[in-house]
Amino acid sequence: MSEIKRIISLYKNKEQLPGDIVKEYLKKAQKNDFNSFISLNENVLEQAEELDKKVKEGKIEGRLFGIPVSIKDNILVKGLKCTCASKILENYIAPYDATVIEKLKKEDALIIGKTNMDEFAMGSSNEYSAFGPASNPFDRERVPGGSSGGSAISVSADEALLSLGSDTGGSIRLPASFCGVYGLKPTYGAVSRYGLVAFASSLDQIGPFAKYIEDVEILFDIIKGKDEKDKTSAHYPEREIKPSYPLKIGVLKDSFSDKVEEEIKTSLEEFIKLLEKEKIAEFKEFEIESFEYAIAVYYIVACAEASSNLARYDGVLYGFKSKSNNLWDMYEKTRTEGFGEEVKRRIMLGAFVLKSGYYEEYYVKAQKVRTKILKEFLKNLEEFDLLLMPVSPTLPFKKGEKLKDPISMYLSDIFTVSVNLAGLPAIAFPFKLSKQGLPIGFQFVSKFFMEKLFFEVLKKIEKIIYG
Amino acid sequence: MNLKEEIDRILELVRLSKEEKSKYEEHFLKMVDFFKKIDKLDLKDEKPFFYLEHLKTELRKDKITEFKDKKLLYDNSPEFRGDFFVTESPIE
Amino acid sequence: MDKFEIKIGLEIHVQLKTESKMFCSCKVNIDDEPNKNICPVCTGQPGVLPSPNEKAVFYAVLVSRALNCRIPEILYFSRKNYFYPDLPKGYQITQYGISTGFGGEVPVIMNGEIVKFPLERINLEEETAKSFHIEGKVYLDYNRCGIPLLEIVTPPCFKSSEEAVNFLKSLRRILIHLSVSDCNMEKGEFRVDTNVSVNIKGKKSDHRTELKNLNSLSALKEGISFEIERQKKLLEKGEKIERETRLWDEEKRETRVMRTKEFVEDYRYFPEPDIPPFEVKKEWLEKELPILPHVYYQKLIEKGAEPKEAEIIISSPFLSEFTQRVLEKLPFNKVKGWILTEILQHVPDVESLKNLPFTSSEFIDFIGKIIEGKLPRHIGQEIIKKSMEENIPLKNLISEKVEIKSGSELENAIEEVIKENSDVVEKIKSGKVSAVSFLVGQVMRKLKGKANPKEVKEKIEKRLGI
Repeated sequence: MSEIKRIISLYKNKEQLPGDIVKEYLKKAQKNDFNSFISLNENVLEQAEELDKKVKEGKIEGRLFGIPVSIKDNILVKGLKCTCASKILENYIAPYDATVIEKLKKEDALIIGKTNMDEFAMGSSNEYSAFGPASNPFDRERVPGGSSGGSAISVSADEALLSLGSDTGGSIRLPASFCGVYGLKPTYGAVSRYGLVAFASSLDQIGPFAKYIEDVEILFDIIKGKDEKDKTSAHYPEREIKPSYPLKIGVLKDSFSDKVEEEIKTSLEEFIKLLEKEKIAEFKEFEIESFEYAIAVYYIVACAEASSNLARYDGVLYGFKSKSNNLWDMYEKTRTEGFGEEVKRRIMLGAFVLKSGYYEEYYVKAQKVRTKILKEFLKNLEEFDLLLMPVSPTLPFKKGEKLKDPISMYLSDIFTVSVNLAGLPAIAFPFKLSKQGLPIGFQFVSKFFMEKLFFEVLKKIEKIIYG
Repeated sequence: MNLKEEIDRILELVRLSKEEKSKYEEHFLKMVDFFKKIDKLDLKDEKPFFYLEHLKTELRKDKITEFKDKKLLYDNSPEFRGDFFVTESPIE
Repeated sequence: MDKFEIKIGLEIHVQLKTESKMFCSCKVNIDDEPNKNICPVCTGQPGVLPSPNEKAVFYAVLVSRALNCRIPEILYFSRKNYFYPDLPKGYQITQYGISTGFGGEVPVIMNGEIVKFPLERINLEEETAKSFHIEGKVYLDYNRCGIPLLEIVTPPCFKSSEEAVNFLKSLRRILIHLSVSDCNMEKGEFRVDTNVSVNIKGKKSDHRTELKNLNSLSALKEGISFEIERQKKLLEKGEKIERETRLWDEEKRETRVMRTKEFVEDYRYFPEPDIPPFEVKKEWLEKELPILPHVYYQKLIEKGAEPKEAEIIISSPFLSEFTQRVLEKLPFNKVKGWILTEILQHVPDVESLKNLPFTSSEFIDFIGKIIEGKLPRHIGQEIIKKSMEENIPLKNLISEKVEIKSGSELENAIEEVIKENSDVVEKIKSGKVSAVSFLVGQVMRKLKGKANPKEVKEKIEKRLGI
């Protein structure tokens, strides 16, 4: 099942034109019911017209020909604003295209606009945005998840067919799960980060959102691959994946702890039973000893790298600048006024753990725990084909609920951060709606560069659940 | 230096105003305490992660490529005069 | 003198002569219009990533090898975090904890001897932007930002300003011979920071004064000497020497405390996550090294050159090799005047001499002819002059002039001139001896210069009976 293929065949049969399709999505994007967009691409209709001509000439070549895509506002699209949902970049216009955007354009995708997010990708609810919080399409009082909230919403609410977001500690998977769509965090290095505004360099990855697993696959195939401009990108090894069913799937023991909401646990059990019944998989519990340390390790490493990556926002070459007649005062005012609270909190923590006297104690130690976490994951992946766990310990929570205590916000990342620390690929997939009609989803984790296994298995599962 | 004094020093280093210190103190102290968790683990045989094993840098050949959209860089600048980016001087 | 212990250390920053910058493909050229050679990477735009230049790493390894450093098998970079307008990312990518070269030594030519001074480390990093300050504003040119920089650090091993300056002269020469940099100090391609500490022998002390703004070798010599004297005087008085940074004042010829509020930085170094480690290529370690200047120097001295003469020759790598080849066939004393005077008088800056309009073998032939008498000295001088000035190959000029007239041809020419200038001959015979030179000139003209004027004069004088 692929919406991309369905629409492109409409184009090929000349039953529809890109201009018409885009107009439908654009209408919703313009209404911006859930505050999912920060800005729209003013030239998209013009660009669609160009594609209309190509349809008439029968020149439909791009794999995303005439497909409306939304882009998280921390990925640079030349000529469009790139704000990272921050005051400090509110008027910054991207002078170049991110590598993934070049790839999309090559495939004739149409970019609808830039989506809302937590400022500089720091957050789990899309409430830390200088452009206002975004809302969950299933319940406006609730958060869509973050930091790629706008991306997830736009796909869920048909404001775009596909979206690209970024995941550093769960920022694709959490909003995907909260909004009932697929969200993939690729293997670290599988997708170029050139043109992704850096938050935590050793953890960030760009990844796709879509409603159908085949569409996730198509988009991922396009954006993956080594990029000369990103030395942390790897050559993606092509593999034939022929999974032998029933697969061996490990279920994280902590999935059933009392920190996880009841409905999520029962849904997980339901999911497991379904797969067992269909002989898709056999399940066994597994544990990761260092799992409970993952959040501490994540925040030490991510904040450290962020404090350095955000030093360039100083009012000198670009961005917001506060008035002063003295450089040092200008720096201070600009950064204090330009950054939101959560960003400032993390910059401070990051500087602390890198400071002489604390560096060994915190940063180096955390990096050692990270090695341990990776080792434990890899050991389990020797036994299991896939690992299964929830994405979030809770259902989408109400706006404002976690703002008073930022640390409670961090705990929503418990199931997602360890995967980023290891660099392994993980995919959030929707399962069902809760009794209140809120999306419930889970995630698979696999070995490095095994995204294809996700796609194969989820295609099978998608058929079973949706027919 | 105790942690509270440390906060002032850090605000200086990252160029943030000390006026807002009270907003961040509580969170900062809580988090540093939370970080101490990792002391419980025995790490003496572990090497720090720093880089994933499957990544190695391929060095770039020494060739010139011109960036053609320099004007877009000039246009984003808060102050650009003649051919120069301009800002307040660090020298008093 | 003896009661003082003097320790001087040097930190040198050298711009490497690559085509493109250290972490992006912008052209390396600081003389272009301002902000012409820039891109998103070297201006630290959001979302960019560094891409390290292979040639720059190769040069860093080359220098480390030439100076006998230990080179690790695997290298990586680190971030040095601080705020300054000439640093767009808010951090500099450099090396910390690991260096391209550890330890090592520099062979220094000093007072005719070769002395080796130790190095601490050689690091590869990136340059900052150029800036100038006017009326409370700073104007920034990022053409320079991101150019590859080699940082060479010594321990505090120098005991005098002479030692330090000789070291720098030799180091510059080595880098020029390796073709990694032109080391032009006026252009800022070779910058030196120094630290000076003077103690009373036996008394422990940990003060160290950093000196900045010493932009030439002469300023360094004077500045270091001044600082040594200043510290000595304070010690004599029993006063404390502050640990501070002092600026060299070119006009007043003294060091003074930098008045800017010294903000103590904490650089929060950590390994650069955007650049995974890379191997030092085996071919680089096995490639033959160029001959170093001190080796040329020693050979020249062996062949009879004076230290000053040898130093002039080795300041140009091209001339070093050229001279060495010439000396394989000819003795130094026969050659030195031709090289040091005749050739070099046409070369305003020896260091930048990169070629000559003749090969060493052609030059050897040329000198040979002069030694054999087939080519008069003065004609040889003219030939060299013409060749250097007009860039004409030597061999073309030699063939014209090599036939020196003697014997009957010479006699005939003399007779003709005497006949043609009987009035002058009368004058000579009646006492105006100086007019002989007129006749000599006429003979030379008749023979188109192909004669030895001394010989001509003698023959005329004999013929006229004077």
